[in-house]
Amino acid sequence: MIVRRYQQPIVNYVGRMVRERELALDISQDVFLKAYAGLASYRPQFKFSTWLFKVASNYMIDYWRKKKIATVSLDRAPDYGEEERPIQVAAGGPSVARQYELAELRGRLEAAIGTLPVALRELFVWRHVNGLSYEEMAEIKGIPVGTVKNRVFQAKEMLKTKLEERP
Amino acid sequence: MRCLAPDRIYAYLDGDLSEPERLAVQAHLAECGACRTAVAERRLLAEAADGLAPIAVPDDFAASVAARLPWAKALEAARKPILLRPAAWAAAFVVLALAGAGGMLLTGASLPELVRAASRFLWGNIEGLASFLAKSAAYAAVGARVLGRLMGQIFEGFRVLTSLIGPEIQLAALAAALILAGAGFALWRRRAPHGERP
Repeated sequence: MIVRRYQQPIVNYVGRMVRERELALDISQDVFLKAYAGLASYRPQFKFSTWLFKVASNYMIDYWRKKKIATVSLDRAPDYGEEERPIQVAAGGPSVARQYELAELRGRLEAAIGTLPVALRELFVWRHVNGLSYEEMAEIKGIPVGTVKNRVFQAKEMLKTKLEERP
Repeated sequence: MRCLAPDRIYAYLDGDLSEPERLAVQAHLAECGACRTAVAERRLLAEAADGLAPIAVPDDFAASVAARLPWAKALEAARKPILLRPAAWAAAFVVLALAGAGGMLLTGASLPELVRAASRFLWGNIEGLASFLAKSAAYAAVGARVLGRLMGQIFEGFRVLTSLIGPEIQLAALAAALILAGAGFALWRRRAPHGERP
């Protein structure tokens, strides 16, 4: 069954977006129901997982809209604000490797992902949690591959900045 | 070479650089400690992100989704007895109301007269149905008695026949009957179209 096959990636994606497991499970169910209702729009020449993530992404856009949480347009560079500007590499700066063990880093990373702007968080989760390729992400969002790469890089720089802050 | 910008580092880590570019970056890293740290930090971040734990999905997740599918709801509704369905009651009420209004308009009769006529019609049909069922039951009882006697005669015939012939002949007859039945079944299967039951 399609649900069994894709439930884990969809829940992983939605869970990292809303950061609440029960809510993520409810939304994931809705995503599968929406996919079922829209199966006629699926074209077999594309990967089913790509199409399913597109359905999930559209659902999340509606969700944020209802929650009145602003999403960052992917057509322009996000406004980071003064404190969230991507860092530049500087000699002698605090090293993540020195400060955290990997396990602890993952714990802090989970929290830091939640601080990312929604549009960047989505791309970061797709790339590193769901393992989607840049090309797949570009297809889902309907934007150039280069833009996707740039946004993922920006998300990583923002996370790095967040992780370098004192706990 | 100048120090590496973050996008250059990510391109290097993602393997997106051409061979000359990659060699140039490696040469720079060999002599720049700050860039080595910058690369190591981003590599560690990517490694940590790639290993984030999956969110636990309950075993009944797929079943919960299936239960919410439209056809599952329709199936559930279809399983419910008709008397427990509010829609059926509503439909019956609407039909009765329309029939009553139509009857009053067409015949000019009052509502009590219509109710009386409808109940006469209804009871007449129930009476006819009851009479039909009673007769059917009587015929069925007669048929069962006849069938029972016929079966008794057949069994009696078999009993007489088996007392007249020896057990070897009985065994041979049974084997022959089984072989004939098997051959008949095989022939029936061969004639049946592939994948279909005749």
